[in-house]
Amino acid sequence: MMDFKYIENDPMDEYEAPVWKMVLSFAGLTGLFIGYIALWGLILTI
Amino acid sequence: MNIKLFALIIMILFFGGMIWIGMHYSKKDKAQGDSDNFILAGREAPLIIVAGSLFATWVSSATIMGYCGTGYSVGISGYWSGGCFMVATMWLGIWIVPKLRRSGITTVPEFMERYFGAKHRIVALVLSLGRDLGVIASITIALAMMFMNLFGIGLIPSMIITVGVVALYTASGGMWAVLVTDTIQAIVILVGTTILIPIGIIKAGGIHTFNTAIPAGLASPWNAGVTQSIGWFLMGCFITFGYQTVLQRGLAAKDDRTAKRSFFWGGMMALIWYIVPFLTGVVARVIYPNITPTEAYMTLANILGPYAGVFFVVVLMASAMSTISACILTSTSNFTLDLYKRFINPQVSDKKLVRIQRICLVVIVVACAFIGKALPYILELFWVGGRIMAGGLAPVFLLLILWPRSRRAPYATFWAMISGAGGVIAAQIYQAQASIAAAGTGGVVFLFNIDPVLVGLPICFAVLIIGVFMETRNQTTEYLEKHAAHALA
Repeated sequence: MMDFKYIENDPMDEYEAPVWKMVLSFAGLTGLFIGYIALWGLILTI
Repeated sequence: MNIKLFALIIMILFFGGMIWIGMHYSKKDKAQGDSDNFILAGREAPLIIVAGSLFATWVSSATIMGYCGTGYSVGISGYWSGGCFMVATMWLGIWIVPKLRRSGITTVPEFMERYFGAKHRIVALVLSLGRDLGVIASITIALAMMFMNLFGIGLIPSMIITVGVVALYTASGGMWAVLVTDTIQAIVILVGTTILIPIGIIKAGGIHTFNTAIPAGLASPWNAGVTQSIGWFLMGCFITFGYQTVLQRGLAAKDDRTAKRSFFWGGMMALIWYIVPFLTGVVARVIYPNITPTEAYMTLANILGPYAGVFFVVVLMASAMSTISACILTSTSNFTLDLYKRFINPQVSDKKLVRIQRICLVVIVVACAFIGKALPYILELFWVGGRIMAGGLAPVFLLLILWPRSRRAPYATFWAMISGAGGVIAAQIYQAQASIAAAGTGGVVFLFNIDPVLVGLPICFAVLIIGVFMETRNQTTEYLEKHAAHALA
């Protein structure tokens, strides 16, 4: 038998993290990553 | 000067410096005398130290030698397997670390028990330790082998010396010593690894000659294949999402702003640097086309002769030591807080706990060094534990932080961890021919048809999401209040 502890007003949730902002920031960082590897691909084929 | 004498002087200076830092911070630890100070630097670490430490933690000897071998085999497309860690690190710093800091936890298994029972904590502990102990075991043996090759002494004496130095400065100075030595090692790694690229290109006849000599495909970002690249990227992200060693650096930062900025700048610095070992591999392939990928870094390191070679071996050792010290401290926190304090002696005093943490740390590093003797593939073997953690623990951990409803679903979260990890293990065993093929070619990277993490992740997410909806759909307000009272009790 497993149980859970319900924490009302969890302090962790005080820090707001809107989904669309999280998705956008991840997409932006992934774009940076892809852009960087593509840049090196270009440099090595000049 | 005799090369061995030269190497000995460099090594005494390097090891002596690390031990001195450990001793220096041991005085500070004694003054504070609590476990929080030993494991999390009293949660007072400044930006430059946290950022430098994050960088050094992500760069190990396996990263430099293994990724150099990957670059030799598949070119810059190997960056998909490394740079993704930094995307996830920077993202964690923005959204996850500030939330975790508010939870007041020290370890990931402790976080699981915050909402559920001991069973969740134990499963999370096993999955976390699988990753960290794999890293420690594989890198301690690599560190000892570098020392052995440098001085021509046996493996066991080399292990005693190198592992002894790491254990000494980490056990004496705790997290403060690890953070500061990591930052110094980060500078050594940055300079020492990057410099090999221009040296190699000049040796190859200049940039244009070098570029035209690059074998077909090695300059392409997609050379490893789209599926493998996406598999590497997802695996890297999910390894990072549940990677305690990284998360604990955020918990050690003095405030939210410092944590966020440290993760951003430390991650950015590492994102830019992480292409270096793959480029080094490409350089090695152009200059030395007839060696095996495992020999790529060490062959290139001797390009300027044996004296410069000693410097590049020190760079490699610095990277190994920074990763080992960080991971043994994390594993120590798991063994002492999640096992000893939680199940064996909950009333232990802080002073005694720190003493036990120091002993535990030494035992872990010695045990891992001997386990590591049996591990032949430095990079893949530390990924085995990483994949299992990424497919089992990380999705559950992440959703518990971001989706409050999942905190009321003990069965779904528990079985999601088990099924995700099981899926990765099954896929890894099913595709065992990848390791056999790599062994046959002297390769350092296994290219799977379907990366095992791509099997484990969907299973874990499906069990978790469907399970959470089913388990929580009939939970009434009264039911939740009953559990809230239970939590307070």
